[in-house]
Amino acid sequence: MTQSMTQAPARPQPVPTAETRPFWAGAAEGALVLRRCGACGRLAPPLAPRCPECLGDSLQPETLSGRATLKGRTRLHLQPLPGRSGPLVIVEAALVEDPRIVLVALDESGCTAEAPPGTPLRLGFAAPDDGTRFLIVLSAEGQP
Amino acid sequence: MNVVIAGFGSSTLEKRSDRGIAAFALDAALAALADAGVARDDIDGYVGAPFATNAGSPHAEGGDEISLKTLSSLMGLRLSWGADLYRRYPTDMVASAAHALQAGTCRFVLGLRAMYVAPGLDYATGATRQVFGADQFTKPYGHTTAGARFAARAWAYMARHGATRDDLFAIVDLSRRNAARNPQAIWRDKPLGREDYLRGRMIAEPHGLYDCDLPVCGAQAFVMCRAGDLPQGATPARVTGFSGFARPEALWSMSGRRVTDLKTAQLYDGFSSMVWEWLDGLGITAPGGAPAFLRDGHAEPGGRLPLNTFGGALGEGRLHGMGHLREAYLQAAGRAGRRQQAEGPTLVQVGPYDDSSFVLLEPATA
Ligand SMILES: [Zn+2]
Repeated sequence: MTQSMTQAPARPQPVPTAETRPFWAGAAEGALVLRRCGACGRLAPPLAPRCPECLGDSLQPETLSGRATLKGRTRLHLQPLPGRSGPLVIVEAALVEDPRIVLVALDESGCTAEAPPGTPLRLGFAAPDDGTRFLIVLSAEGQP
Repeated sequence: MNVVIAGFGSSTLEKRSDRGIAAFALDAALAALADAGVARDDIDGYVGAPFATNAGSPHAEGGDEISLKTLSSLMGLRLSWGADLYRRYPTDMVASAAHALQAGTCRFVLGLRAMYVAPGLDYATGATRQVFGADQFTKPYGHTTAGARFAARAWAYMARHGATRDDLFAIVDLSRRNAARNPQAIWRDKPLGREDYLRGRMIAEPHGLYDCDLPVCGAQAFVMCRAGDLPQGATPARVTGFSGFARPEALWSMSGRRVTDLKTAQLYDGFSSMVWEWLDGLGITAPGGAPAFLRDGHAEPGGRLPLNTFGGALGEGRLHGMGHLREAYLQAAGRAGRRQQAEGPTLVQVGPYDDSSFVLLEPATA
């Protein structure tokens, strides 16, 4: 799957900051990592410098379950990613730990094809693409 | 609030042009000045919102964006106040101009929004080697392309409420029919049948080609002033309310109006499904009720609440809400000609579901 990287066109590569580094560091290990507020317990979205609830700054990285529900879905017929052809299935997934946090993932297996909104999903990470592992949908409950 | 829109102007709208964005901007600005009966040297305030929003935009000054700095230089404006609103909408431009006028900072504010289709630009891709900030979590997934996020939301809405592509077509169809009465609309002579609509290639499901507004080269501009400063011969529309989407109740408390007072509404339709958002969101329809509202003809001219009477962005072209504001002005000022609906409070909403703002305009005589 991952052959020589020298010529392979790659997806856009994230340039992390202190806030987003835990997410991408976790991704490299195949773990979904966000940060939780030490003061009030709210889960912070990846970009947040502080807790959006209490504005505290004691955010601690936490590995999440990867469980989510299907919030939105589209098959994109334009091809924005290099080196690919055919439609891209883009999924918006609301995390079970806090559904206000919605992450974008690709459905590379087609498991969400017949899934209605609210379907439980399992999120994980794809094989490295030029060094970065991006979110994918591993499975959708009740779907082949 | 004792502030009015005194006049409006538009450039031609074109799919491609050899002229640059500044030419369209100046055409619109001069048309607005003439319409309001205001001389160039009377303009002492300015508000713009120059951000180009296509995924592959170069964001080049005088290329696909034009700022206060460049426009005032090219027009010889001498401003006591001016601002460009970053990533904001024409509705926010009206609110900012109203604030400046109420504060007495200036007498005549020019508001301008210009759009441009840069030659050779790949709108679909916008591929970059590196992504920063929020793009880290969207662009590597194609989520910023072709309104994928609006399509994803439309899919969920349709699944939840049993709406179909025929319901999307109802919006496109209304837009095309209304555009036929708008001489400058890009689709004015292009009715679209259901079969042709369904044959349009898919872009981001459930949106097909005709669910997306068409990028254009064009600009529109308005002049605002205090009611007491209205130039002779100008036809005003009063600005009676505005608010951000997170506090829509502020629109009603400021204006003293209710949603049932609305005579017309111009709702942002960069993608067809977006029209549903604030029909439901403002309580014009019950949650999930927007498609039936359209299906039952309530949004037609002469209906219960005529929508996007100029054809919307889907019919007129992608001016990012400036066309909506212009039509609301024309309706409130009684100047909409063949498109004129019952005069009274008219709503403008611009922006997506998670970031919109509202303006209410009313006839000056009310
Ligand atoms: Zn907190």
